[in-house]
Amino acid sequence: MPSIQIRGKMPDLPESLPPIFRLRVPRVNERALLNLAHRFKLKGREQAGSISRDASSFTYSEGSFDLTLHRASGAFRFKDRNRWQVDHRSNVEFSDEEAIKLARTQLRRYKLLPKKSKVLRVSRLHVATAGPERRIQDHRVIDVAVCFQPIVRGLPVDGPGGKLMVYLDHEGKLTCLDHISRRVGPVYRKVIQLHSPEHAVDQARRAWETRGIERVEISEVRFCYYELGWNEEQRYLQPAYYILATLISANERIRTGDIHVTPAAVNAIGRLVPPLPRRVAQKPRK
Amino acid sequence: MITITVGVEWINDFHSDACSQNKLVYMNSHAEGFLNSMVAKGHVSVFDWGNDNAWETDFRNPASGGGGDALNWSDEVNFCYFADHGGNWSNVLHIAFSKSHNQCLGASDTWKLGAKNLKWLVLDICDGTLDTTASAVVDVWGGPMQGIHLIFTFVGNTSPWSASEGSDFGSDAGSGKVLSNAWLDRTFSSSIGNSPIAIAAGATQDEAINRRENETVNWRDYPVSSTNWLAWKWRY
Repeated sequence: MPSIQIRGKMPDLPESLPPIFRLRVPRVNERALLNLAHRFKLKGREQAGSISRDASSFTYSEGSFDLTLHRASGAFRFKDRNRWQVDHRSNVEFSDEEAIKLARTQLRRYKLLPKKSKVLRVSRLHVATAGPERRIQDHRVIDVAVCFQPIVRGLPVDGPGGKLMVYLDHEGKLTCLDHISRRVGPVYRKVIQLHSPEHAVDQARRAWETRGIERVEISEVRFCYYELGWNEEQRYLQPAYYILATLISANERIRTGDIHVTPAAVNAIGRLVPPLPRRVAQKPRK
Repeated sequence: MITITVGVEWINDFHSDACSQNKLVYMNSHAEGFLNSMVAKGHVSVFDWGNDNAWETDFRNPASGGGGDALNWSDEVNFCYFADHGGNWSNVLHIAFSKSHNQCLGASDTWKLGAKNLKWLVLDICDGTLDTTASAVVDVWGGPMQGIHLIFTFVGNTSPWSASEGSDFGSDAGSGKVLSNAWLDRTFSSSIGNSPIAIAAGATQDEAINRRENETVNWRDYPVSSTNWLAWKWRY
């Protein structure tokens, strides 16, 4: 039985039970891609750009812009190849608050700001060098990324999806926009009761016990809607507990992060996280 | 596009013995996903060693004794991906093996990365660097980087947050995208707030920066003549 230390506060549960929603089937085809290109003020015509396709996505390219639409999720990325993550020897000097304001303006400009959202994180892309003298030189920040989470019925959407990420350069101009936020449809099922956060921790404990884990620190238990990533199909949006933990080795020198996701509704539908592909055992090496 | 050779090692399962560590779940998906994506882009798979088949000697340089066989494994290929536990103390990175062959822990002070063919190494582990100060990066990596162009890893702890991190990175890397940016893009998670980092080597500051900003797999035959400078890039 693993020893578990909970460092964070358990989440407060809402007074009204958050329902399970059906997610709308994403409209993903070349016409939808070109329509989306218009939203980003591109010409959005095959004569003005080009479309490339692979198993998971379509990409429309026009000038230095790429717009990629993912088949499984309807998630998309709009980026400027010449500026996103590129070091033009500049330095971002504005604050997180200014970045959030600028990012909201960009989302409004493209009519992508959710009715309700919250800022999950502001991250920065740093660069640095050091030479023979082993002193840091040329440390700069070349972009700032603001990540918004949509709020649905008072709950943030979390997981690999449920994100609108706005990347800004040193002038506050957009270099890339990621939109992984599936369209929410009607209520599919009312939730009759929620498991408690303690129940979620107990589920995690069992999973860790199966893996022979002995010591765990839980830093955070989030109560959220859980959304999958770019290339996964998802039919329902369900309330979940999202547990962030650290697994600690016997000698305490090796620590690793671990995430455990478990349905919050007593009457949840199926699995939240797709099963891992079956592993093929290797023959012993000689 | 230049064709490059790829090898991967990963460990999920440890035993209750001297090499015991907490079991992991996604490491095969990450490493083999990377390998499969690279092969799908036309690159060549050389080895895939998992669990007890992954050995500490595959990374140890022969000059460090102890049966070091890196020149036939990790340094025999151009791109090596390693997914497992890591720990960083006394300015040495340690990686954990499930079988002692010949040690339970591999140590970065026994490595000479790039002495033969290795150009790029992914260490999909925790604590690739403890922070991003010059001492944390240079004191750990200045010595082991002996010809390798770039190392991709994480600052401090991370959590495997998606089964497809390795395959997504492999897809970008294998198709000729800028390696450092592909790593940072494919492995950063705003949900958990991890911090991926790419560390480039060069004889001069300009060379290290150029590799950090522009290197793709097509730079295989543009060697690092000496690791006088490191240039790193991280998201946090």
